[in-house]
Amino acid sequence: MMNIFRRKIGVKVGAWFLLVALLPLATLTIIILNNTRKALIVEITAHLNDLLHEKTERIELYVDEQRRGLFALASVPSVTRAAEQLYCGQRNQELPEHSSVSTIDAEAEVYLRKTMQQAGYHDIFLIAPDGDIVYSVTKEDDLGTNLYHGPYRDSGLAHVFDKAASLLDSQISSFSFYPPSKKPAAFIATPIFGDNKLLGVIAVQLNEEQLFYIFADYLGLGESGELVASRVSGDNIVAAAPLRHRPDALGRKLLQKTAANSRPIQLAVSGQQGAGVTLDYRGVPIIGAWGYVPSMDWGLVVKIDKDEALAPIHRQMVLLAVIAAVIMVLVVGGIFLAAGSITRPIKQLVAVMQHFANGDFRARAPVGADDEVGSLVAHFNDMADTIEQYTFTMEQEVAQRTQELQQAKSFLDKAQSIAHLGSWQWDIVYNKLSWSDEIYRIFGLQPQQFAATYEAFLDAIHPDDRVLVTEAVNKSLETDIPYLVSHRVVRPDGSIRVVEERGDLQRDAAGQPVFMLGTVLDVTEIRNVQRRLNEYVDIIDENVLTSATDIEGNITYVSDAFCRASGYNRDELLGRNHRIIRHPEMPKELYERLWKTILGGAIWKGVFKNTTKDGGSYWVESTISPTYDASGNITGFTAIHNDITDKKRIEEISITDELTGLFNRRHFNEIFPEELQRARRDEKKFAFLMIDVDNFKKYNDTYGHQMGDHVLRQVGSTLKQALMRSGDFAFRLGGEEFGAIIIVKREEDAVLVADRIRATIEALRIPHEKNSPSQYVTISCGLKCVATDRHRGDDVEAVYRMADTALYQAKADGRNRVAVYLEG
Amino acid sequence: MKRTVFIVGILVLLVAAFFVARRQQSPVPVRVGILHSRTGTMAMSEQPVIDATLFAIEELNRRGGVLGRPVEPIIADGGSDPDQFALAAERLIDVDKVSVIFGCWTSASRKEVGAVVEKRNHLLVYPLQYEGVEQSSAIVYMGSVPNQQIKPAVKWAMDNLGRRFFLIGSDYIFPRIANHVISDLADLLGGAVVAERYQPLGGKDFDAIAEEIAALRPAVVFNTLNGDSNIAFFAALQRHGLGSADIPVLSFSITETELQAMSEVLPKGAMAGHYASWSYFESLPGVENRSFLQRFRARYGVGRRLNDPMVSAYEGVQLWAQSVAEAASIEPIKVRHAFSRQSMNGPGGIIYIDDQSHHAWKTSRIGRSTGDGMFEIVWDSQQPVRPEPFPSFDERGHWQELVDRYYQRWDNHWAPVVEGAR
Repeated sequence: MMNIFRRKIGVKVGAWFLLVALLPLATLTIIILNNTRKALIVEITAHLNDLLHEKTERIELYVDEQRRGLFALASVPSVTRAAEQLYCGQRNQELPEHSSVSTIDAEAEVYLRKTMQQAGYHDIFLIAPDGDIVYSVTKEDDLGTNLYHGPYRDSGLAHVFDKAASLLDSQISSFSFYPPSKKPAAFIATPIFGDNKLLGVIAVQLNEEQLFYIFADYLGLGESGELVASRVSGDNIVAAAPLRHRPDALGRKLLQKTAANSRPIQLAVSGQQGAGVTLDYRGVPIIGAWGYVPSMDWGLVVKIDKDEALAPIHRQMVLLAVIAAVIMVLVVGGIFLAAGSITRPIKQLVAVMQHFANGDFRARAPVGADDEVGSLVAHFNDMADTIEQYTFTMEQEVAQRTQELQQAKSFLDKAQSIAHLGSWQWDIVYNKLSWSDEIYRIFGLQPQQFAATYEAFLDAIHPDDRVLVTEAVNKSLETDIPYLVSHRVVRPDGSIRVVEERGDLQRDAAGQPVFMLGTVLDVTEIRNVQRRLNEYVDIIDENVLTSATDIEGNITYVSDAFCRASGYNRDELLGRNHRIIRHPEMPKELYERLWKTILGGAIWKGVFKNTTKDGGSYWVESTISPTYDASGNITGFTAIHNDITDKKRIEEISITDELTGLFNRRHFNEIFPEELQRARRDEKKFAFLMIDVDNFKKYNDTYGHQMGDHVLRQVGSTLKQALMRSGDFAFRLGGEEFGAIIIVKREEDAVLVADRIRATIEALRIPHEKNSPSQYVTISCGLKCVATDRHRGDDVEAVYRMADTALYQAKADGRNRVAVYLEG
Repeated sequence: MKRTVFIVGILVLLVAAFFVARRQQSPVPVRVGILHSRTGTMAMSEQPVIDATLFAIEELNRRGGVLGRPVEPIIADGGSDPDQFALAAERLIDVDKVSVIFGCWTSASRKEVGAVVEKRNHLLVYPLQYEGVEQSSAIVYMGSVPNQQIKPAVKWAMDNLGRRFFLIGSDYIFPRIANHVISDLADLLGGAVVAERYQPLGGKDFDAIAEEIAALRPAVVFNTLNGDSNIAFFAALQRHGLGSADIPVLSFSITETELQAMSEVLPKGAMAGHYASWSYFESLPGVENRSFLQRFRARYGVGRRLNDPMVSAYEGVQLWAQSVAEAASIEPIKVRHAFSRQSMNGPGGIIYIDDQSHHAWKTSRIGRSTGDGMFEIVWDSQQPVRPEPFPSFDERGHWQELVDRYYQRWDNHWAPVVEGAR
């Protein structure tokens, strides 16, 4: 019900109208009607009051008339005389008996009769003081009876006679049924005085018409109104006169005379007066006025039925109600119409809007009147146009976007396929797993085959890995840390793929886990590759010397082979600086150059001699390259070392004279040109010494080859020691022939060096008896200082020849000396 | 919705304010005068009437007063002196601005006050039975007139006690006129007045009278003595051995109150068997009387006696209130008019103010003292008797003349002027 109130404008407006307009109007109307009703009641009451007074007056007037009449009658001499006669007759029995029915003077009789006719009396009585009815004109049964103890002692006549006798004044009775006359009768009586005594009472039987005529006058009493006269009779209140609506009511009981006087006749008959709206003796609501009529000892009520009295009001009310109803209907109808004129276009608009809301953007509402609603509709239409346009544009864009999206999706798909990386989303709440196409491919499943739940997923993975995966997932769910787990997948065809699965938990705003997003990467090939790689790495590790250091040269990795070669355990190496394997023979400059190079980001290739833990050595050919971080900064170095110890040995052997340990001729042939060129390049003075052991053959012959070898070895070592500088070389060129290359600043220096060598050998004091220069072993040296000017190219051959020539000279000169080549 | 509530609230407030405003008009009291003898020889009789009047006003106020206004009684003392009564009446009207005077007992006081209210177009409500022969438009006579009080009593006495009457009364207008009525009646009916004696008001010497009564042996003594003269009279009778069985006395001025006062002085049972004629006796049956007695005694005390004047005074206030209501005014002139046909059911039965004469239709009753301060009813007229201020045996003019003659005889007073006997 209330919903209608809220939802319909017509009802709302109607209700408001009712409240604001009709309600006050209705209230006003009710108040007016009420006041009118009250005023009407007041008026009617006043009118009835007046009527009551009028009727009372008329009754009193009637009574007064009767009294006067009777009083006059009682004063008429003939009547008085007649009474006297009767009185005497009764007393003295002087007159002839007529069995108590006495006669009176004819004159009196005539007079009485005439009076009776004129006044309309039914009868005239003369009653003796003792109560005997001694005379009656009509001569009914009552004549001759006694009113104190006769048959009619309870009649009105009896009562009125007694009162008149007691109060010595005229008295009137009410109407009541009088048996002798067989009809209702009322009596009026007055005492007759004469002869200084109360002669008796003259009474008159009244006809009711005159009095009741007052009651029959219903003027001003409408249809239901009546005059009710009532008197007390024993315990009852009886009607004292006929009622309009009950003509036979005379003498009949109307109400009980109870103590609780509330009905008008009860009040009136007890002397109270009043007027107003109340219930009458029938219990019917009436408007009435009531009062007491003392001369009759009556209560008198003038009343009209309330319904009849207020009929005009009721009619008015009905009329007003009808009019009001009609107006209401018209007005409410009008309101609804008016409201309708507003709501109809609104409803139309609503309908169109619904179409609109359902997606039909072409829907437009018809613009009705040019009022606010019409304006609303017009604007709606404009808005609809805009929306439609916009929608169209949007749709186009959406189509485009969709297409782009499709492309992107297929691209992604392709990418996933290429990368063998699938993506998935697990709706934790509903346990729905959605996989990208690639995952299906990886798992070898068709979407139809897959139940798309977490459990189905677990089924697809290798039984042995299920626990692992489950634990990883659960841990991630607990800790919120994305998981990475590697597991195997068993495809339907039985083949096994290895995948790397990642998952990341997504929570909603309330912190509840809702999704897990993740990827599956088919790493089977990679793993294979990795495995092979690992295998290779192992082999390499096993066989190849590799090491890695940080940027300061602290070892971060060494291969097994490296460890073996270096003689250290891995833990003895890790963390230590690489220089621990440096061999002291290696010139520092080499490492300086190495570090400079590699720190500069270049790769160093070099040959190093390294020390083993136990002091041994080994040669490696190392390639050291820097390693970079993502920013291009050098983070360290890796080196791969080729163990060339053997090669070196071989090399050494190949260039070393076994006996002396000096470079051999071969090496000389290699080195000499190189050194010569280098000296030229560096513009350094270069001296070549050709050294020959004096009379070596003789020695050999004397002392033996073994001793001869020993001498050669000594010469060799002497040469080595004298030529410690880098750039200086010592060779054994032949049997007892040695060579040396030395870099000098001046020729004189070379001579000095050569001489020192000669002296040193001599100082060895190796006995050589057959040596001509000395007893001891000596050498002869030929020296050629090579000019190293570039443009003057002394080539190798020349230099050698020149040195040789100088040697010949030295030998010729007596041996055990240094001879310098001279031009010339 | 809030707006509606607001509007309705405003309306309610307005209506309430309107009603409050109406109520706030505190009604101005209506002043009424109560003028009786609070001092002097009449005080004993008149004080109870003041009480009854006040009681009536109290009950009236409890019912809302008149025209929505409370009634405020202003009590004045007539001092048992007619001149004082007149002055007091003037003061009540001119100074206290009363709307009505309830008061007077003696005819003298009534005549004096009557003149005052007539001149000022005011209103006197007179509660006592009196001699009649008066019909002032400014007075409403609540008490019985001779045809209601004296005529039936005389007829009854004639029928039941005997035909020889001894008349004794205080010397002022009421007994004089009353005795005239009795005499006329006696003539009419064949009775005989054996003696007619008067004592000055307040007189206490009744031995001579008692002797005379003893000598004449009337069938009944009609007593119109007033005030405490009654005590002396009955005491004298007692002394002369004249009991009610011998010579019954029918008094017209002795009520239950007087009986009570007399019983304090006279020997017990002294009053038993004597008669009185009133409209109201305390012993009357009926719901109205029972309720009235109960209410009055609840207010004034259990032992209080009620009598005819008190009840008439009580009824007078009520009828005045009804008249005011009908006239819708407290103006005496309008109220006087409205008194016509006012009626009520009083403790003594129906009271109806005759519109011609402004006298009251009342039931007549004769009671016999039972010796315990109460009267038993021996005769009841059963219905209200029409008041005839001017007894019908003679012309009105005759009675008026009679009254005037006495007035003149007494130097324009209503009682012979006796030095120091007031």
